[in-house]
Amino acid sequence: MSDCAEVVRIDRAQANLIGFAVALVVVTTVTVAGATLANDALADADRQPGATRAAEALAAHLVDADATHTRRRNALRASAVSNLTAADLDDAVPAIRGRSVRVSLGEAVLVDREGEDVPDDGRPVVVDRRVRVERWTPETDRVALDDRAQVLVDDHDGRVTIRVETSPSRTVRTVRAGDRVVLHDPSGLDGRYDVSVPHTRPLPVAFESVGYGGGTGTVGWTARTGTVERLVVTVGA
Amino acid sequence: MRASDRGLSPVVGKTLELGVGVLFVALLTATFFGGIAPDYRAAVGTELGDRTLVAAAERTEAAVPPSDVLDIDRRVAVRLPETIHGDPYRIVAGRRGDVSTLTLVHPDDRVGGRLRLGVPGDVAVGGAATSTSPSWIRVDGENGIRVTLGDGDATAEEAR
Repeated sequence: MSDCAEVVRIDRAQANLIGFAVALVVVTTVTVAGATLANDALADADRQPGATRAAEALAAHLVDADATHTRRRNALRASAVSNLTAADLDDAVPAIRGRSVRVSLGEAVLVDREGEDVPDDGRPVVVDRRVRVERWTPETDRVALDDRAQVLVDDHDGRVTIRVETSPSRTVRTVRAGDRVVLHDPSGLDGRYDVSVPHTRPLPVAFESVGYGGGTGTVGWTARTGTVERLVVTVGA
Repeated sequence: MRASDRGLSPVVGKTLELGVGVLFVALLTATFFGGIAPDYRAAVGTELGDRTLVAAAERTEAAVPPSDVLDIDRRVAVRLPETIHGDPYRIVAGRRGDVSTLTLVHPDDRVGGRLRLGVPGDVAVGGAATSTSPSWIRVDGENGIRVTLGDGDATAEEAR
């Protein structure tokens, strides 16, 4: 009986100790877990406002309607964009000076520059935009001259080149673009002419000639082709 | 002798337990208040400082009118956090080379920074704002556009 009581008391004493140890371990674990969670929360809360601002400003400048490398908002000139340098962008967007910057359009990397004077603080900020890239390609079309020959110009920038080559027995007196007379000479047109034409598309260019010989009329213009590409701006610290 | 020992053992045991408990709590407290909490406060202060500076810069850039404006005189209110890391601070506008800048001046050197403003080169940016009083940005275009930061207690005339 007394033995039994003794055993119980020892067990209780040990249980007390064990309970205390377990309590310590639990408190320690909870504390460490809390600190870890707080650390993660703090890391997630670091949105890098400086780099974000720089990236947003650069992306806004790249698609800005007033910039020299765009035709309209979100429409970039392919040739001007491929000539962009980091120095140009630094001048236009002061926020990116000293930061590492990478601008890529589709597959091509336009600008890639390592930063200098801003300390690097982790993940770069990426701004992604979809833009239209416009290229201008020269096109020509020729037609054999009879009394009414015409060339259909599907897309142009308001300027066309017209070349008239005739045999002596055929006279081209008038060239019309759409419903406007752009060239007229009663004694006959011959040679190369640069003319402004109405902005209608497609635009018929008609050669009105008299005579019975042959000849060719050639119309040259600049056609615009647009593709949609991804513009990715990456700004590190 | 043995009886007294047996009477003593729970006392010693409890005292040891209490000592270990107190030691543990002291260790935790020291760890938190000596290291972790101040570090976190500083980190949060740095982050808040960055955001405050960016917000002030965006407000300043947005206040600048387009370049074809002839005459303008307007005030824009700026709301800043009262304190960062428990201390008031100032936002100072100035120039560095050819670019206008905003600088956050704070007693703790872990909080602060400088941002370049994206404003046209002929716009003069100046003045300073203290966080504890209501701040404003004044845009004035009589002879060239001037952008001035100021506080509620400084009049616009003083800021010139």
